[in-house]
Amino acid sequence: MRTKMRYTRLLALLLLLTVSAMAIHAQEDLRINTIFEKYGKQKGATMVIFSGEALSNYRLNMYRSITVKFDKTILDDIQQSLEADKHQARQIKEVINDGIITSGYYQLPEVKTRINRYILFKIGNDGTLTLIYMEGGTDSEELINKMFTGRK
Amino acid sequence: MITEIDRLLESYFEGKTSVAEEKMIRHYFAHHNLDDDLKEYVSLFRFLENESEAKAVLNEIRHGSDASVPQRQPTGRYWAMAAIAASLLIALVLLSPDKQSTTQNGNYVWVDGKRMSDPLTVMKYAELSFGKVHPESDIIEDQLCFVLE
Repeated sequence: MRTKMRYTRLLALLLLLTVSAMAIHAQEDLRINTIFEKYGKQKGATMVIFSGEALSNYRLNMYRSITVKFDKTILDDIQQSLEADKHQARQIKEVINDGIITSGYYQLPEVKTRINRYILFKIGNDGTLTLIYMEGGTDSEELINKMFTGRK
Repeated sequence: MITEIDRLLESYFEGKTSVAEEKMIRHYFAHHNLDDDLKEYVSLFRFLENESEAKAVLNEIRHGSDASVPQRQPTGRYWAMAAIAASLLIALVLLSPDKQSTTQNGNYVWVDGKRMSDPLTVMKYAELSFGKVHPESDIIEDQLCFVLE
């Protein structure tokens, strides 16, 4: 009887660990990740992966960006990713020209993990496409809004 | 007339019988036609005659249950081990270092496929990229000004 209870507890613990691992994975489960994976290391692209203490001043835990020269295929890929991911967004600020998102700001809160996620995108005047993904605590919201819009 | 069985029974109830004599009593009660005065002891000695059989059956059951215990315990252990293995596999797949190194941890910048890890260079490129998404002007403000002009 005691052995059975021990097994039940063990299984419950493992189930909890599995669910936790899946929750961590969910943070990465955004469509825009494919953009970083697919184009980040190719010629003509600049990809930044930044984490750790250097970001604490910005109340961020993670910063990822990719800048590529204008390319129709990559632009289509990004547009589709943004369309998919923005369904999770709490705040959306977009500029759309001729049906194309030329500038976008999306805030995606993770209620369970108390992490705020941000996606920023812009087609630059210099013909570059820049996509940024950031993660930070709940206190990052004010600062990011201020940095992005230039005011609170 | 005191028969042999009467003598044995007398010894039995006095607690003086040997194992062989008790066996003879049981055998007698099992295989002979009994007089009425002996029939009152039937249940006692027939039970005892069957005791060895009963013990054999009990032993069989005991061995059977002993054999079934190891079969059940490993089944539980296998389930637990399978659950541990499955959880570890899921954790490994979801949190594999390869995936993290390219997507989450560390400070790196890839420029044209070349990786750099100097913190100042990474910071410089991070600031550059953030500057690129910063809106030059507030589109809502611009449009309101245009409409109200």
